[in-house]
Amino acid sequence: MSQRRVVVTGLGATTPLGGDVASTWAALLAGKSGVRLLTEDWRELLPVHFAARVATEPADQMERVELRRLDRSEQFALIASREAWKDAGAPDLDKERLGVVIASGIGGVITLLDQFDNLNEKGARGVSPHTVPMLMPNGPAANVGLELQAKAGVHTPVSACASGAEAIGYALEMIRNKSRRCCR
Amino acid sequence: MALSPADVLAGIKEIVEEVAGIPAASIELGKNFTDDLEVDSLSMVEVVVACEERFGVKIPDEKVTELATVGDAVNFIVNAAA
Repeated sequence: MSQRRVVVTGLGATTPLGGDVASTWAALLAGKSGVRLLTEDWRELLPVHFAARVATEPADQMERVELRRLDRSEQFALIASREAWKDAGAPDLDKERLGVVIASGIGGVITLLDQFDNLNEKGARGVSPHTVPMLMPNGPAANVGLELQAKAGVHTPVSACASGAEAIGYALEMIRNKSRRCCR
Repeated sequence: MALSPADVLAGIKEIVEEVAGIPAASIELGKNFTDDLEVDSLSMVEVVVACEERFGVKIPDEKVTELATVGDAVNFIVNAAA
């Protein structure tokens, strides 16, 4: 049985090495490490004082109002997907044939913690009405799907550290098996 | 605590700009939150809660649907605080 060939047409990234693909790749080739010492006060709560935090904060790349409606995980997804979409030439295609698969190991855990604090401090009315769309693990995929108006399916594998690899595999199978309209 | 309509309007402008990103200069008494300012339902909840905190008033859920325009909200808050 012959297998349908699948190609990558656009790349996007925001990583501990750089805020986009070019800077990330350049840092990789230069052998740089994305691991840094933590400088925030809360590091004293932790036994380990280093981590690989993103090189560029979403606040430097997004509008304020957009930031406040998105969990950090969703901000990263939109930043990387916008770069990938642009890199692919922002194709004008049939949205019925466009799908999105973005994994998340946990989802909007920061939102969950923040809103739990709000509940305790301010009561139920103090909890943001955006809480659910911000904390759900499929929030990153959902926001990208909404932005691109993808109508062939928006999916989120959740499988711990294998989530990202599983997302790529899922998308590959969607295209290869022609199981969605996007795969014609 | 009595509030002046001008103070409440100024506060609402700040809140709507912060929550929905709508420039304060375009927020006027006659503007409808939904039709003119395009404040969506989730953002409207945020606006209401922020107004309650800022002006020290309670805006019941059943009243929120009656606050169609910025002027409606100003009048309600001024009266509730009186």
